[in-house]
Amino acid sequence: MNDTNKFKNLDEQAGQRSPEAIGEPVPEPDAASLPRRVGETVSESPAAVQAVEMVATAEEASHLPVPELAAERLRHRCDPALFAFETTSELEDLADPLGQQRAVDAVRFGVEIDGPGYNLFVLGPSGVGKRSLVSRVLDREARQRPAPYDWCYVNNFEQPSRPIVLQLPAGRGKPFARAVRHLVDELRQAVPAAFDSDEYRGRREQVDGEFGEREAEAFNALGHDAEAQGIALLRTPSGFGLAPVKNGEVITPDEYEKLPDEEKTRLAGELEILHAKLAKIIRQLPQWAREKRERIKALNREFTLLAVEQLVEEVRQAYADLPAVLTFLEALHQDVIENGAAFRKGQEGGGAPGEEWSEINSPFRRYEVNLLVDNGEPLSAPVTYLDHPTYQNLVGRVEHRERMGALFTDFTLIKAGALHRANGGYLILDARKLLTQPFAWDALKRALDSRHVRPDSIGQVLSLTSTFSLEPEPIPLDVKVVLLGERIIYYLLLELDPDFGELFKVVADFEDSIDRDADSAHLYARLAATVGRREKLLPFRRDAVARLVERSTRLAEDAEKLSTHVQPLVDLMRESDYWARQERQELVTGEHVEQAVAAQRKRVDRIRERVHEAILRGTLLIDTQDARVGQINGLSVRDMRNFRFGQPTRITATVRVGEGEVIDIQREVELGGAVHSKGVMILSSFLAMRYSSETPLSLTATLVFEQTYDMVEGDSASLAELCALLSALGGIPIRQSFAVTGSVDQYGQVQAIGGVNEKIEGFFDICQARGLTGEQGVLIPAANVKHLMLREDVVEAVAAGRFHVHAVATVDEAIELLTGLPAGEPDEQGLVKPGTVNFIVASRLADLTSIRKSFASEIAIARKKEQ
Amino acid sequence: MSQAATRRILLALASPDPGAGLLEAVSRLLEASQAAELRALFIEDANLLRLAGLPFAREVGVVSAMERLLSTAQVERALRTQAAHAERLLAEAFGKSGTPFSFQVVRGTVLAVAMEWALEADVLVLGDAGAQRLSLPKAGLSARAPRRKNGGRPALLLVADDSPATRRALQLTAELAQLSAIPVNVVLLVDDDETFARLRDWVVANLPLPPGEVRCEQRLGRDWRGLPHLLSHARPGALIVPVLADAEGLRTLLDAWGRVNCYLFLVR
Repeated sequence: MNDTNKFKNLDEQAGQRSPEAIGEPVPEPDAASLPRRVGETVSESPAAVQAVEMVATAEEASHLPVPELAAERLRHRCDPALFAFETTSELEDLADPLGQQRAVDAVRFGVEIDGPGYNLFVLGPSGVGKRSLVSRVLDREARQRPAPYDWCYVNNFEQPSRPIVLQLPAGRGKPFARAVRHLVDELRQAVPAAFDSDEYRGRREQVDGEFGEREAEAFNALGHDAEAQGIALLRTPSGFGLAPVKNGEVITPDEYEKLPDEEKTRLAGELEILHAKLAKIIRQLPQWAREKRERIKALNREFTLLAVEQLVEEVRQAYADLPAVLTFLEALHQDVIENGAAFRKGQEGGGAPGEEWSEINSPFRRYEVNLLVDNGEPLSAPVTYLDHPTYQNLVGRVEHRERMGALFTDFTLIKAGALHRANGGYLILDARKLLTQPFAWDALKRALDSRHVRPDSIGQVLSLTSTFSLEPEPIPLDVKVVLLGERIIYYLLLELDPDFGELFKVVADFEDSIDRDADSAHLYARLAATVGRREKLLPFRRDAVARLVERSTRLAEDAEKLSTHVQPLVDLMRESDYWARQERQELVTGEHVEQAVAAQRKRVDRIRERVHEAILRGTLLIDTQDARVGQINGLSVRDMRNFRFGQPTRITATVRVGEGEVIDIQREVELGGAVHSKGVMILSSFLAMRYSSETPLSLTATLVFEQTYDMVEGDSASLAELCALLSALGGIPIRQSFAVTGSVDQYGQVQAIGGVNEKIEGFFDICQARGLTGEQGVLIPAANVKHLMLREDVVEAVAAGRFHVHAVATVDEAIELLTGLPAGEPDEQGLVKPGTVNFIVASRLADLTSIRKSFASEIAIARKKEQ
Repeated sequence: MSQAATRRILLALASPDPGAGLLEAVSRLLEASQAAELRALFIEDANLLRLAGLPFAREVGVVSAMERLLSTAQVERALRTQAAHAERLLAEAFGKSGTPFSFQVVRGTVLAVAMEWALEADVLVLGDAGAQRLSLPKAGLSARAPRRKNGGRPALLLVADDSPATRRALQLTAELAQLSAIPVNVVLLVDDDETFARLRDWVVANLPLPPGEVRCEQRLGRDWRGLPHLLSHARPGALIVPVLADAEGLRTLLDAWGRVNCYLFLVR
C-alpha cells in the first residue's frame, strides 16, 4: 500500500470544520487550531494545553514506541580472550598488507607485465600502506632484473649546442669518465712536453728563422741597397721612410739644399726605386706571416699528433666493443689535434697545469664526460621514488652559470631527472604532488608516450629566457611508472584526461576496510606485531591489541569492519609505546593504548572544548530539557581533518499560509550546500504527498539552523528538520532532551548518515556536563546501528539508564519519541484517529487551505462588487 | 763584494710604449733601492725630424704599404703625442706605488743620448718594446738592425769584466732574474782562468737561481768588438752591462745593442 494513500481521507476528516466550497464564509477557527509561534513554550500558550497533556499522558504511560538500543549494541568490543597469544612478540610478521589481496595481485600484475602503457595507478586513501606495498613488490622484482645502462653526455665537437648521449653497460660509465679525464690529464702533460722538446724547438726555430731571415734579408737587402746610395731606412710613426745620410746621420734640409742638382736628381731617382722596393717588401709581409702561421700550425699538428695518438689508442682499446664511444674518442682525438693550443698553454705559462676542470673557463671542460646516470651500484634495476616531482626534477635540467655577467651553459651542466635515474627500472610518484607541479604531468605523459626523455630548461620551454641553451640528444626511455593517489584523483584523470587510460592501464585499488571477525582480528594482531618490530616498539599485550582492534573499528566507522589504514595504527602504537616507557613498563597494555587515544584527542580537542563551552555557557542555545514547538536539536559533525567531533545545533521551523514553499534560510543566504538543499526539498515533497496530495499545499514554512555562521552541507539533518516542521504545523511540542540525526526520503523512511558516533558523543558530552537526567538521548537511523562504536563512558551511561540511543526507521517512529504522541496509523478506511500527530498536522493544513480559500473568495466578491 | 746603493735610474724611451715588462723591472729596481730617483727621457729621434724636413720626405705605411708625404709638423705632432702617451703610461705604472719620477723630452739619437747620459745615472735603461711587438726594425735607431728571432727561452745576458761596476750589474741582474724567473747567461771578459773562476763563483753565489739556471762563459780579454756577434747568437731578453769607461767601447756596445731587440741596462 502506498504511504501516500494512507492519509488520503485526512482532508475529509479535517473538513468537518472546513468550508465545503469556495466563496462560503469561513468559520472562526477554534483555539486549538490557532497557529503556534516557533519556540513558544507550551505552558505559556493556552492553545497548546492539549498537546502538553498528551505528552504528559505518554510520559505517565512510560511507554516509548521504539525501544532504546541495549548498551552492548553501542560498542563492538574485542575480547582479549579471542587471542591465543600473550604478547605480540609471539606473532609472525604479516608479509602482505592486511586485506589488500586485490591490490597486491594488481600491483604484481602491473609490475610484471611488459608493454607500452602498462603503468600503474595505485589508488586508495593515504595511510593504507600503498607506498610500502609498492616498494616491497618493486624491490623484489628489481632484484631479479639486470641493471640498465649507464648514460653519459659528451660534447658534440661539431655542434656544441647539441650534446651527444652515450650508452654504456651498467658500471662502465664511471670508469669511462675517469679514463677520459685521465687521458686529458695525460695530454696536458704530454703535449707541452712534446712542444718543450729540443726537437720541436729546433723545428720551430727553423720556421721562425726561415721567415725571420726572409724578412730580415729583404730589409737588409733594401738597407744595403740604400746604404750603397748613401740612404738610410728609418722607422717613422706609421711606417718606414728613406733619407740620405751623412756620417751616419740624416742630412738636414740645408745640407740637402746645398747638394748639386745632379746629386739631388740622383737621390730622387734612388729614393723612388727604394720606396718601390720597400712597399713591395711591406706588401709581402702579411703573406709571409700567413705562410709562417700555416707552417707552424702544421708543425704543431704533427707534434700534437705524436703526443696524442698513443694515449688515445689506449682508451680506444678499452672501449673497442662500444662503437659510439669509439666515435666520440675519434672526435676528441681530432679536436685535440686541431685545438691543441689549450694544452700548450701550460708550456707557455698560460696556467693550464693545475687548472680545475670545473672552472667555467677551463678549456678542458669540452673533453669532460658528464656521467648522467650511474647504474654501477647495485647491479639491479633501479627503483626511484621522487618526493618532489617538479618538471625539472622529473625530466632533468640544463643549469646555467654566470660568466662575465651573462649566463652560460654547456653539456657538463646537464643534470639528470628522476626519469633518467629510473630508466630501465621503476619510478614511484605521488599523483597529487605531480599534478600540483606546473607542467610536470604533461612532461611525464610526453616522456611515456614518446618513450624518450630529454633534459630541458623550463624557461626555455616557455620561451621565458633567451639565453643560450642546449638541445641534448634525447635518451630512450624504458621505465614503469607507479602513481600513488587517492581515488578522486584517479577518477578525475580518467574522466578529464583522454591520454590517462592509455598510459596507466593497470589500476590497483586499496580497500579502506575489511570485515571484522576472529580471523581478521588475528591478522590485525600480526600487523601490529610487524609494525612493532619494524618501529622497534615494546611488545603489545593482548589486551592492548584488543584496544587497537577496537580503535581500528572506530576509524572504519563501522562496528563490523576493521580499518586498513596502517599509518594511524603506527601512530597509535608509537604513542602507546611512549606511555608504557614513561611508566618504565616492558609491555604495552590496554591502558596505555587508551591513554594514547585520550592523549591524541586531548591534543586536538581545543576547538571542541570551546564549542561545547559556548553551549554550556548559553552562548550557543541548546536546550536539553523541557519541550518546545518548532524547535529541535539537530546533530552535526565538525571535521577538522585530524579530528572530528559532534555538535548539537538548534533547528527551528515556522509555518504560515502560503503556496507550498518550504524555505531553507541556509540556502537563501548561500550557506547551505546542494545536498542540504536537496534534503529540505524532500521535506516539501513529503508534506505534499502525505497530507495534501489532492489539494494545494497552502503553507509557507521556514527552516533554519540557528547560530550557524558557516556552510552547512549534507542531508543528515532532514529528519530533524521534518520533525521540527511537523511540530510547528501541529503546534506539538518536541522534547528537548533528545537530539536527532538522520536523513529522510519522500515517503518518510529514515536513511543512514555519517559520523554517527561523533554525533551521539557530542550530545552526550553536553548532557553529561549539564547532568544526565535519564531522559536524554539521541535518535539515529536504524541503518546506522551497525556503525556504532561509541566511547566507553557513553556505553556505561546507557547501561545505567542515564542516557538513551534509539534507532528509528521512519519519521513516524521519530515523531512519536519526540512528542510522546502516537503518529497516527491510518485504519482500514484510511482514517487516523484524532489526537495523533498526523491528525493534528492534517487538520492544521486543512485550516491553512481554508484560510487561503477564504482570502481568495473575498477577493472574488470584492471584484464582483467593483464590476 | 759589498752591495752598492743605486741612487739614480734613468729610463730612456724611444717609443711611446716601453712595455709592461720593462716598467715592472724598473719598478722592482726602485723598490729594491728605496732612495733611488727615477728620471725618464723620451727621445725624439732627430734623424726622423730631419727626414721630415726634406722636400721629398715620404713614408710607406707599415700596414697599407701605401706611400704618404711626411711633414715636419706632422712628425713633431706625432712625436709629441707619443711622448704624452709615454708619460701617461709611466704615471699609471709608478703612480700606483707613489714613486716620484720626472719626465723629460729630449731630441737626438738614442746613441747620442745614451752616450751623453750613461755616466749621469747609476743605471741607464734603454728599451723599445714597440718595435719588439711589431717585430719590425726599431724606429729611429737603425733600419739595418737584424730582427730578433723568436723561439727559445729568453735569458738575461750579463756581460761583465772585473771592474767595480760589475758588482752593481750583478746586483741588478739578481733583481731582474728574481722578477722574471728566467735563466741568466754571464759572459765574463777576463784574461786568466783564476779570475774567471773567482768571478764565476761569486756570480753563482750571488744570483738567487737554482743550479743550471746560471751559465758562465769566459771570453778572453776586454775586447767589446765581439759583442755584436755574441748578441746575435744569444738573443737575450735583456742585456746588462757595466758602463764602459771608454767612449769607443760604449759606442761599440750601443751599436751592437741597436742591432738586436732587447732591453739594455747600463750600470755604472
